[in-house]
Amino acid sequence: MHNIKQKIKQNKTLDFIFSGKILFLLPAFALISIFVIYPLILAVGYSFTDYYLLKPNDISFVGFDNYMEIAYDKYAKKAFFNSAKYVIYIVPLQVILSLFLATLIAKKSKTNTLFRTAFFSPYILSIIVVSLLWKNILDPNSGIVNEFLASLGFAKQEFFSDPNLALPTISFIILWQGISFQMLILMAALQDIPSSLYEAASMEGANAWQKFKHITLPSIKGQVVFVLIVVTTGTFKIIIEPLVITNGGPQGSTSSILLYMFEQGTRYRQIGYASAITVIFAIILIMIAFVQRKLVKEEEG
Amino acid sequence: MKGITVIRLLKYIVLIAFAILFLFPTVWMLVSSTKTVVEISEEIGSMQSFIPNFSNIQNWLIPYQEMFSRFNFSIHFFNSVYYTFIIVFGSLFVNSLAGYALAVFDVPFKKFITGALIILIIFPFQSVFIQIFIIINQWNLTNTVWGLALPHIGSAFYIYLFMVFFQRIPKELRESAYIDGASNWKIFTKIVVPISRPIFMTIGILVFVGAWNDYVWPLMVFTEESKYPLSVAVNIMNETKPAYLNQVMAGLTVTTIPILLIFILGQKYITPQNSSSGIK
Repeated sequence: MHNIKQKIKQNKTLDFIFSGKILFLLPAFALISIFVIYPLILAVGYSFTDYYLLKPNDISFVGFDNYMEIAYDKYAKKAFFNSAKYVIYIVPLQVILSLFLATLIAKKSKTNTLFRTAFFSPYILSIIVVSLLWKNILDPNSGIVNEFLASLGFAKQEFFSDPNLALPTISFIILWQGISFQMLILMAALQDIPSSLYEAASMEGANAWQKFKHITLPSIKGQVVFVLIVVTTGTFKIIIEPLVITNGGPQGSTSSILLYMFEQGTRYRQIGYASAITVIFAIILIMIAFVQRKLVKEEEG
Repeated sequence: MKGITVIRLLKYIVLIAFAILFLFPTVWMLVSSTKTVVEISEEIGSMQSFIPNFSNIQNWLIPYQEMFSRFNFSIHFFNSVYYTFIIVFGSLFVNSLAGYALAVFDVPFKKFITGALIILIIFPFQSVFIQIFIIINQWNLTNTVWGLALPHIGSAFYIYLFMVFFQRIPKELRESAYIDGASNWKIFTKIVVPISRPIFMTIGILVFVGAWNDYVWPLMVFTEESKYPLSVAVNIMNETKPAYLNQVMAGLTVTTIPILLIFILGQKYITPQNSSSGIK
């Protein structure tokens, strides 16, 4: 008896199982296997089939047909293209504006605390609240912005039904909410820069721009890279705002990858087709992760 | 000297302009939720629409009462609270245990498991919700709280955050208890958890906000309206004709209040350092 116990203790795997330590890991392991790993495998598998949700017993293998179809699907292409547009409209502006505002209010003072609270306030609203709030504010008939424009003598704007205006408008709404948190991260980084660096630069006669370029930027490069990555992945995951505000319209001009996948999977029940979109989306996420790794490695030198 | 004053003035003009831009929608939401529909539409476009009507403070809550009775709002509010608490406690329980095991125990294939976790962080819930829906559907878990909550509980990212935190706890704290004959479970619950409050609070707040704000997944899992959380109910409110703007704004305000409370109560745990520490 004693001998067996000794043997179990010596074997790492057996000890892990029989000492009960495995119970610490098991619940999470089960949940992640079922709800993360298994769905990823399903997505790859389904993407080569014509799985239709209402006919689960009538699935046949179709090879790369779903992927070919995406290449010819006007609305799918639009959705991918729109996601790229969202990234182009949102990411640079969000990083630059949050850095700009962070620099203006980084110094600790009472007035700056007030401004910080004001700038941070959109963050406590949920995405659904932000979407519905702005949907009403920018309403073409009764929204305050259009009434305000009209009182100044400008024409009313169809913010959400004009195909050229809808995507920039939604980008603005996302930007409006997104700046707050990124600003906070950059502000904390700015406050960590020792003030002696700036004093030394002043003695050497450096102007404000030179100080920003040679002291501020290099000191917070890590956090800027972090913000850049977070905002980029976040922007690719856009779904609630276009779903709630425009339902992807007009004419698919605001749809995103995830929204299109959601529509194909739920409204049209084309699980095979939606899964092919999932796989492409997963590949995009992997590519972003690779870029992130490279940037972080460079940062660490 | 004069140049500096002009720059300072300019800086404050820019700051005030941005403050107005960030604040005016929320202020309008709050103020409109206390007015009558007629007042709102008469004042729209003027400064008056941002100023509450102080002459009839006793009527401010009428839109709230109307909204609660018209939309069964309390049911949806209770649903949201119920779902959120299950997800928060489930997530803290499951992920902290796993993070502790990986930080402290001699787990076989540890390198492989932690490596796999870091790779899985790349794939968020949203990327596979169609396939998760198929699983939930096959298990007949649609329209149940478990269908909503289970997929949200296990998280590679939070396991990783817990693991990093637990690795920093000095070994000696655990070892002396181990020699005294305490079990692993006892050491975890009696020694490790009490001194790890910050990480539990931080992750708890993150999960709370995520669960409270979740919109697309509840829309997929629930077909019975009585089970909708606030996020879904508030959208239905906005789309139900006739939509009374004051009631809609009251609904949005009520949806926001719990998040505001969480942020005020957990202020010191939500720091940028906490949320960016897991990335490196």
